[in-house]
Amino acid sequence: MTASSDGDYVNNESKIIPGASVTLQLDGKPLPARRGQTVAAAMLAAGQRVLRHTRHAGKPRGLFCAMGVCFDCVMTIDGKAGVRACMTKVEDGMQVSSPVQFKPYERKS
Amino acid sequence: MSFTMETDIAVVGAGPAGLSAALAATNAGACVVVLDEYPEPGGQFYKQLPVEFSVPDRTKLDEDYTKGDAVLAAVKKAGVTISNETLVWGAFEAGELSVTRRGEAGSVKVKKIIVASGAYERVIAFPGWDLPGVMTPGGAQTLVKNQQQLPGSRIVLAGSGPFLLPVAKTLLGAGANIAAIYEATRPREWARHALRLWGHWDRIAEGLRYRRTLADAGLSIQFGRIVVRAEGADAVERVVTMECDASGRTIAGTEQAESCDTLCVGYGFIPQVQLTRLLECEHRYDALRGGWVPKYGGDMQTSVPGVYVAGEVAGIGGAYAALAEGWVAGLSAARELGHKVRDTALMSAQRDRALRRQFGDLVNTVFAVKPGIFELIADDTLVCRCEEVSAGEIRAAAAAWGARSGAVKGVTRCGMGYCQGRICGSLLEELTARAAGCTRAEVGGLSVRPPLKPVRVGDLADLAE
Amino acid sequence: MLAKSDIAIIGGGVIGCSVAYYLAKQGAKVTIIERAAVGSGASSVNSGVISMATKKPGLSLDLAMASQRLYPALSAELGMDVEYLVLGNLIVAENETQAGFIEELAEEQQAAGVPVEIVSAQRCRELNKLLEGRVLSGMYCPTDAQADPFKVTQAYARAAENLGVRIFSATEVEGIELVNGRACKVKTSRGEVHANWIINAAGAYSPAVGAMVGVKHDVKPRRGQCVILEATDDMPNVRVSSAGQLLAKHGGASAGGGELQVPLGYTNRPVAGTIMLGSTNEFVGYDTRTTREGVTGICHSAVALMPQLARLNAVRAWAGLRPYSSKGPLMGDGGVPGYAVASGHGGDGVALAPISGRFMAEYIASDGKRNDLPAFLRALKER
Repeated sequence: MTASSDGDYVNNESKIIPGASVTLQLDGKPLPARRGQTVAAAMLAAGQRVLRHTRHAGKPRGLFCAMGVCFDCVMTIDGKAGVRACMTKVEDGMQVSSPVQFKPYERKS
Repeated sequence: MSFTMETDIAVVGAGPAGLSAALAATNAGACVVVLDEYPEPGGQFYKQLPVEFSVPDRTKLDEDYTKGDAVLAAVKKAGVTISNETLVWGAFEAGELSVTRRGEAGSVKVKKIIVASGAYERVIAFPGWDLPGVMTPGGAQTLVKNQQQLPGSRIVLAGSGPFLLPVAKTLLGAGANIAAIYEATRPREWARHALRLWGHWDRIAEGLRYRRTLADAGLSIQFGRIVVRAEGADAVERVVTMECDASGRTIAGTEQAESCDTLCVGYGFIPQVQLTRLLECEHRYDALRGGWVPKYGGDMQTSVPGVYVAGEVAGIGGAYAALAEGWVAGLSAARELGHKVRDTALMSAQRDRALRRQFGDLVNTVFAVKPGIFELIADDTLVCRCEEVSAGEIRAAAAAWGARSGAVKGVTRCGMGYCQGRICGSLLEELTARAAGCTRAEVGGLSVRPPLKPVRVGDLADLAE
Repeated sequence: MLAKSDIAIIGGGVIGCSVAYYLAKQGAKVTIIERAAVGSGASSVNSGVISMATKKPGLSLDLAMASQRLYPALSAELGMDVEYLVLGNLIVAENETQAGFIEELAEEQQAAGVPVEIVSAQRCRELNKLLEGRVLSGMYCPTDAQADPFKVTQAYARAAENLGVRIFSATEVEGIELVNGRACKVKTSRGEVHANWIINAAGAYSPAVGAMVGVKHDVKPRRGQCVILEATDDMPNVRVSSAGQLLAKHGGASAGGGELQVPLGYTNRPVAGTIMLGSTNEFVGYDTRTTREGVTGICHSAVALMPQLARLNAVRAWAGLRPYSSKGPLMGDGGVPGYAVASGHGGDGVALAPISGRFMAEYIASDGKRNDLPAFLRALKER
């Protein structure tokens, strides 16, 4: 099974064939993927395990529950924020970006 | 812009319990719609491949893929409607569920509801648990099984519970490099429960098969060991474990590090009771069965007439208990609607259910969460991942305001993020109970409000017409 | 006996905790009896707005202004950051009636010294760039503010405890006993509390407490539903509400069934980054449920005036019961010797907590003689 050469794809001896090839845009750069993959898996396949940085402390986060419960994998997808990458299947031309790092509110004392 | 569905029975969740309930109710003559958030039915246990993937020869697939085929085929043949990618986010009036389906808001009018929303994994916080590469065992299994993607190139499995075994098997079958497997309990702790295994031959056989799989891979489980921290810069690079005693307290001088890029750690499951709470069912705290669970009678009906539960949501018990329980709930709901259900059918289902629950309870007893594990949570350890609230902040608030978990939530923001306390809630309750010196039941669970998961303002606005 | 103190306060919300603090500051021994947890009532389900622009000149506005004057120093005084932020408030007119209403109100408020001005539709959009819907004009008050309701309540409670106030949570009040005609014993689920003064700060539940001493208080629960949006960066901070909201507040309110009027209310909480939309005004008894009409209605009116909000996620909706009183806050004499009331603050509990606590402290210190709220406010102003 092939996609990106970095991918740790399961060696399933072609018993399971992912869908047609598509290309996403991840932070403006092309990311190859296969239909049926989730955005999170496509990123992992490309060797990217850091999905975002947290709003306040800027800590890196990756996939945690992979079943849509924890919301750690939220990214901005096609202009909509707070979309779970693990629950979103790839589409050709999909725009994916990591959430913008929160600027702490500057208090005027 | 918004749609309506109408049915006799809405089953929420298309895992073993939900599918079983749908089948039983449909066979009895009821009209059933299954509402499931995922793109393919099967829940976690019968996780299916994406429809976009193709399988040239299904007979060549591991039975882990095909074990759900019979149930899914039966459900399809019976004419049950399964509405995939459908999120139940609200329940404002009796007989109505507010849903969104692929971004479209809608309403489902029902006479009976069977909540089979399953469970999710319990991860107990420890220093470094928020590093990329640290995930749940179930998450790893989903990645491999559903997405044909290995989570990493050097994997450590840890935590407690028999679920680590099927995950190990799935990972090994996919060619994963498992560096180590750590289990908090020791076999000698299981010994006194050995007699209760009597009668559960299929489960024993399954356990032995897993042992064989590990042995064939040259792997053995390191018992009596727990992860005390995960270390790494931008992602996990190594995992530090220590031996623990029967109550989960670490034993000095037993630190051991193992390098890895992926840590799959889990301590059993937590029933996903958000919907039953929203429906105002009464709940009770059952530590053995995973925490807060809805109260129900022998027919699986909750304290709210017309609302039934089945499977993990009713208390952790495993997939076979879920199947049996779903059958009871489906028959009961159909009978309440006036369909003919023979007493013998119901009683047989209830006997099956009781037997399976017996095994589930045994597993829960043996692999009960050890209290000492919570002592690993340092003050600067993250507890609320969404809002980035540390244990120290929670402890301080709990010491001041103890009484209720909701009060601690209010001042720390723990539980106010996207996941609405699903991941941090039981940790918040535990830390609050410990700081305030009261029980989990006294501390209470976090309140549940709609939407159960985020829904776009635009979709909600459309519903106002 | 559970406790013996100078004063027993029934209700551990923002008002009860504030009153306790100012009393304790005077050296009084105070007990708070709270049936659930501190701040778990209306104090935890509100937007924390501190607004002059929404007040009718007269006692209502005087109270609000006096209270806001106490806010800037509050965090330092209580030793905890209450997140008091002056973000400004814009009330927009969506039709001619509303436009006329805000013009009149602005004139009255200007006369009373509130820095409000009527602004054009274009200026409205400059003040809050999300306002793309049709507005005719607006009323802008740059000095209106907000605080975090949880933090205000906790700050008062903690400061009160540091001064020796005892708070009994999860403690239900079952009755109030009079001895020689004076209310002095509170019967609770955990024992009796003896006190020289009993203050009813039970918010929406004040009528039930009043009934225990045979007093009927003009307080009714008025439900407000709110929708919270996901935390987002870069959202405008100026609070925006439709003048329709004001008309609903000062006028009657819909019964809750059928057509539910939910004018726009937008509050950004810049520290957390979440946006609050809402709220409704409904007389539905003690029902704290959120309704489909409320949630969808709030979103509908929000999107009409601020279409960009449509793409954001709603993560939670909640509802709280304002202690609504037709004549404004009830403070001071409760109608029975030894029994005082501090309730009826409607949706302004957080805003009015400082002044309410101060007033009640003086009331008690003067043994009930200084019961004149307007006089109290005038005296404060002169200091």
